Amino acid sequence: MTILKHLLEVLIPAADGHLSAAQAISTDSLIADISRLSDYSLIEKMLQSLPENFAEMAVEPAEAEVSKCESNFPKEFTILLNAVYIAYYESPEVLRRVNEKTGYKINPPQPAGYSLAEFDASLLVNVKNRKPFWKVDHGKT
Amino acid sequence: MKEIDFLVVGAGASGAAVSWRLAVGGAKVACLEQGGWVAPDSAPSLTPAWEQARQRSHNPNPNVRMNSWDYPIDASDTPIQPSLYNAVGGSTIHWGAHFPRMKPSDFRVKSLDGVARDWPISYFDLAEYFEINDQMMGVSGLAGDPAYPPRAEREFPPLPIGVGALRIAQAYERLGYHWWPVDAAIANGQKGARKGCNNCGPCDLGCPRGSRASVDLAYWPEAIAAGAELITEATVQRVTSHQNKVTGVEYKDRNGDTHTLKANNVVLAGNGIGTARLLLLSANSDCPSGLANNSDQVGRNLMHHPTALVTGIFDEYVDGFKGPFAVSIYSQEFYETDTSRGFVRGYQAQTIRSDGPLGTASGGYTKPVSWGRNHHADFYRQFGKTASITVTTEDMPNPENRVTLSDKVDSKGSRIPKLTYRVDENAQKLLEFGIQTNTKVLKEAGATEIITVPLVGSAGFHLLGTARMGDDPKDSVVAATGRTHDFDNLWIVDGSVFVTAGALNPTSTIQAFALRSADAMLGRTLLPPMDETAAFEKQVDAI
Repeated sequence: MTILKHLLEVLIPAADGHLSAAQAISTDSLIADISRLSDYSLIEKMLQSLPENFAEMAVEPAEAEVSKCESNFPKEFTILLNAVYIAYYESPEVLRRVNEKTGYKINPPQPAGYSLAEFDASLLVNVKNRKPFWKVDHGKT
Repeated sequence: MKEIDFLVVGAGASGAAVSWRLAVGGAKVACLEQGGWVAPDSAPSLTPAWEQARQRSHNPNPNVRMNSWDYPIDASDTPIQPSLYNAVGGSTIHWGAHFPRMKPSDFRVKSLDGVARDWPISYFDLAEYFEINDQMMGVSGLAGDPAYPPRAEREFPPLPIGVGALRIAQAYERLGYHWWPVDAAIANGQKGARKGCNNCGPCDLGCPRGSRASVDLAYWPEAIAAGAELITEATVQRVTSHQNKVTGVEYKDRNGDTHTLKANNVVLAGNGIGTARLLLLSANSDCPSGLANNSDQVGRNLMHHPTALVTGIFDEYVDGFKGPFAVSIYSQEFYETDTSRGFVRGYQAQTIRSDGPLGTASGGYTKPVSWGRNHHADFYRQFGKTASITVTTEDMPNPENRVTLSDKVDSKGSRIPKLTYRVDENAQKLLEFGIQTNTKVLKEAGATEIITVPLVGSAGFHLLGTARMGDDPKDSVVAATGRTHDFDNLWIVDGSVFVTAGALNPTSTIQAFALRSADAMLGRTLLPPMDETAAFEKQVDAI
């Protein structure tokens, strides 16, 4: 569990007011989510390939070890990373920070939807004067 | 139940269309669907976890989604994973509703380009049926596109294209390339009980307003009102036959109990995987290699549309998460063969919007955002600032690309389908060319960085060719009407009948074919073809 927690810190570290993945995600929920789709023992095997002192490593060497993991266990790493991103970007705290930085509304897309400018047909200039170019059997194009 | 004239298998895009046309025409129709009804207001776009749903419970891949209505698909031998949905409405429950028609040249690739084979019908044979289908589905768009023969005025004006597509449209204009607002099966205004689109974005998660057409809303209520009977959660195990006639089907209900249903005709509408699987599962002593398979073509010639994605990152926000994700503008500048390019046929460029936070991070249209110290910077460099163009390429029929039966079985004990598929050299070249040309377009549009995905592995949403149409019973499964060569009361109306794939979304063409096929089943005179030459000359004169 410590190794997984530290791996989460490396994958998405805390910075600039953003939570780290380790802060935003419950490892129990993460493991449960992965286990629904995959054999979590394969992820555990990948985690066991990290050095025993991984949790004490500085950022740079820790990233190097995670890169090795990514190369040696590409499928398992992809499953884990995707699950981490899913959990992280569903966190209300994380989305609140995205909202602060960009103005993105946290509400679900429905029922409000979005307002957009109607299509402006005057944009069609050259193409509107183009001869038809759908190809026909008789070589008319 | 009265004697059934037509027993339809599958209640998706083609099954709904054919059932409606048959029922309105006075036939006694029953349809068996392995899924159930999906309430529009169950769409996850109403919930905070909507992006998670796209990755999990509403994932387009049934092997990930694992809904109880789904069957597993062995996709271990293909680089393109299947995307489909099993429910009343089929895959239209979770589609993007981009609604182009195949083009006249798509039906004539042998004559024009010397490759594959021509269809036994033409665009012009389907022209009137396209119009009927458009009215049923509800289409927003703009008539007058020079890339197509004339179409009727669209029911609704084009949907808003958004800031990203606006940039790209202006780039197309400067480059002198074709572009046009898409035909979308999305109501840009009230259509009966269906409300106009409010640009929420994730059409693929379902549409609680009913703006985006799905055939559970667009066809089934009228089909049922006309007398069609729809039996849900009924999984057809095999089509039964005796000598040279099919006699009906065997199916299992939601409790696993087996039933037999007799019918005068059976109509298959289970998509390019499901229909081929069912024909193969229906092998018997008279048809040891599968039903309607004297030609050995059932399951062969599986075609998708190999797809690349080219994404531009802009310096400012283009708010791509606003608006229906799959529909804005498209270009067919490079659709036709130019032999100087070193390949045949071409591609359609479809501008799509972008993702919410999770989709951006996990690389929905690009690649996953980097992990590690650069994660946050990489995320904000992309989020809300991207627009993407899909390169949708033509896929040539290849008999070795196919659907067969796996040794594994589903929860009801039937062997699951196995896909064997390779992207051929022609499509590889097309993808590379499409990436080059669209990189140019996006740079012209002002993108400061381009990210490309050379082959989208999840793009197995078009399932075509596995029971192909043709005049010769020796090398095709169905005739031009959809009637199988081997059984005169067995019909196929889904994308499996496609002879070639074109380079664009097939649903409109699938449905037009199903409507035409229904007329043939009813013994009606088929609607007359459009006069090709007159149509062309009329367009030229109008300029």
